[in-house]
Order: sequence, then C-alpha cells, then structure tokens
Amino acid sequence: MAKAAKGKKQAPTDSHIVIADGDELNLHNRHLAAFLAWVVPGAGHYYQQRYFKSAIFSASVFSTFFIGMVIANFSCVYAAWNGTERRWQFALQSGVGFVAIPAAIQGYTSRGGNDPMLGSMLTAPKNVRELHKLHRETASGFDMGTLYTMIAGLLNILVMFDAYAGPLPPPVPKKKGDPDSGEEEKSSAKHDPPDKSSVEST
Amino acid sequence: MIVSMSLGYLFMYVPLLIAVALVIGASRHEKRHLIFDQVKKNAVWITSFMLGIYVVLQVVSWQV
Repeated sequence: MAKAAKGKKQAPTDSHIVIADGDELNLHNRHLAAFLAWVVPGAGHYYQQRYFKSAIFSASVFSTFFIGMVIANFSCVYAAWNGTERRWQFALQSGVGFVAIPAAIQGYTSRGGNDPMLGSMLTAPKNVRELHKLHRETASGFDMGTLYTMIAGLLNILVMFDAYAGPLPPPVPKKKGDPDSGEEEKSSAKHDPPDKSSVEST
Repeated sequence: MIVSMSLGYLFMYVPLLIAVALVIGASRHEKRHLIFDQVKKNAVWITSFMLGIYVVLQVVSWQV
C-alpha cells in the first residue's frame, strides 16, 4: 500500500468514483444521472454537482434543438411508421427525452387514425398531402430543422455517456523514440490501467 | 455551382459548429481550460474538414 501511495494516483475501487484530468470525480448514482441526462440535457450533470458542464451541455443541446424546431415551424419532431412516412429520423431525435416521450405517446395513440392523446403537438402529418404542405410552407426549414434536432439528439447521447462514465480519455499521440511521451496525459485518462503506458512503450 | 449557394445556408453551420465543438470538448475533459482548448481544436478540425469537402465538391463541379 505504501508503495502504491508513492506512485501515481491509483485507479479507484468504488464504481462511482473515476479519475478525470488527474482528479477524482464522484459520479454518484451513475444510472440515475444518465437517465436524468436523457430526460433533460444537463440535468444528470447538475445532479452530479458538475455545474459548469451541466450549463455547457444544456445550453448546447437545448439551443440546437430549439433552433431546429423554430426553423421547421415546430413540425419536425414526431413519431410515425406507416404508409405515409417511415420517420427513421425520430430514432435520433429521441436522444432528447423530454420531447421523445410525448412524441412517442402521440405516435402510439394516433395509430389507425385515432385522435392523439396530447392534442395536436408533436403529431405526424395525417397524409402525404399534409406532409408536402409542411415541406412547401417551411421551404428547406423542415429538412434543416430535422437535421438540427437529429444532431441535438446525437449530442445528448454523448452527454448521457459523460454522465454515466465520466469524460472520455483523449487520444495521446506517441512520439517515436520517446517511450515516456504523453505520460502525463495518460495518467490523467480515467480508464487507463496503471501499467498500460509501460505496455504500450514496449 | 456550389459557390452559387445562398450565403444564408452557410450561417446555419455556425450554431451547429459551436454546439458540436462544445459538447465534444466537454465530454473529453473535466477542467475548464482543458475543455476550451479541446473546443478550439474541435472547431478548427470540423471547419477544416468541411472546407476540404467543399474544395473537393467544387473541383468536381468544375469537371462536370
């Protein structure tokens, strides 16, 4: 133990403690944090008391999603898998949970021509004519809005991963003939086992 | 011609660039200065990549 204390910071034994940028990071209940991050971007990090990252993530994901919704006239997020449209884009948009949940409910309850449960919000076009009308009215806004909201959903998957497991270790370039190069960065990467750098240098 | 595209479309890339660079940068580090260093690198890399694609498409459009 004394030998270990002399060396670099050892990998933590608790599953909710990880090493990030050389410091210990407490992820608390990582499953709950990831779920919160899915439902509301940034909420998982807020729960983990990582307030700065919470602000960055929520601002980035919310703004991207909101810009997409605005330029598509709030019509580009809906769940539909029928003869009118196979909306595969929703799979990516559903990375943002607070919209994905009501949109999925709307899509499920409006099957077979029924009235959607939550009114007219986040509903799919009833037929091809209505879908074409959406495209016509928003010009390229419908497609651009779909793209923005898809990217927001994909970004939130990264946010969920960060809430669950901490930051990804950045790749460290290895210089030729210098076995110790990048040693400091490697020691700060959270998933590296203590002897990994010595294995790589051989 | 690609260059005949409206400049308005190009501005659509700015918020995406900022958001993507921020999220990727913040998902790589925990300390603020490291996050912002990573964000700058990401923004340069993404812009360079898009410029590269633009040049390729432009050359192809000249050939056609």
